[in-house]
Amino acid sequence: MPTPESFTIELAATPDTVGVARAQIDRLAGALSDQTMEDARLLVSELVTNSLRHASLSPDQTIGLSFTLLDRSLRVEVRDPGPGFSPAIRGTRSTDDAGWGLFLVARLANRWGVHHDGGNSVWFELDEATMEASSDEP
Amino acid sequence: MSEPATSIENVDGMVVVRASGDLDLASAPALERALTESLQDGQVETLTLDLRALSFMDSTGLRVVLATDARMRAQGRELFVIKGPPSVHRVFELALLEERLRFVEPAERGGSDADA
Repeated sequence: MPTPESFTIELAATPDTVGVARAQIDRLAGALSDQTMEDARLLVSELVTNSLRHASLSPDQTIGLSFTLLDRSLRVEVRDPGPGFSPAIRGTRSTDDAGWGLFLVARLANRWGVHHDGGNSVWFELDEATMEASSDEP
Repeated sequence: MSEPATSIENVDGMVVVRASGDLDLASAPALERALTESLQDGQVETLTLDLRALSFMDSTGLRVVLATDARMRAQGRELFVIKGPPSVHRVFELALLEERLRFVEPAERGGSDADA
């Protein structure tokens, strides 16, 4: 089966969805390096978790994910119908609850952003390392 | 995706909580319960959290570890963490928490049995 260049999926707003969303990254195997896939799994997990924690969704509402393979990068967008949240990135000193997810997004993503258009949407892009720089393959 | 599980063991008088599978929003409550249960015994001064069998962890797991560490410190107790595989440990590194948590080698804190 060829690797799709882009796809979208709607998932129920339940905790199990976090793992289901992560597993979607496997559909892009072959098109992305192992490191990019690992990073993408983590960031998808963070964004879907953010939606579930902050959007006050009921289980019959859905979270929409879109995955797009660009020239040398992956773009993922996560949308929920909730009111959104301010993208406060935490400092690293306190143990309070919020902010770790977006902190990791900000550390790993090459580009990311938030927009509100009736719902709430967060996206990120991960660039593939250049071929010269990748040394994880024997 | 691996099936998540947690177990609590007493090894030579040390309490070891082992987490396995994917640690995320869906599985974190079970780990939190296991940790809370382990700490109910006031005699327990240290607890070891073994992350070696985790296949994935995100910031939800990170929060559980941090909250447990903070709670134990406040009570004058100490949490030891046995590192997970690289993809799991990387989350601690990215969050700049390697210095703040007490990572130990398995043999130091009741983890040697689980090595094949």
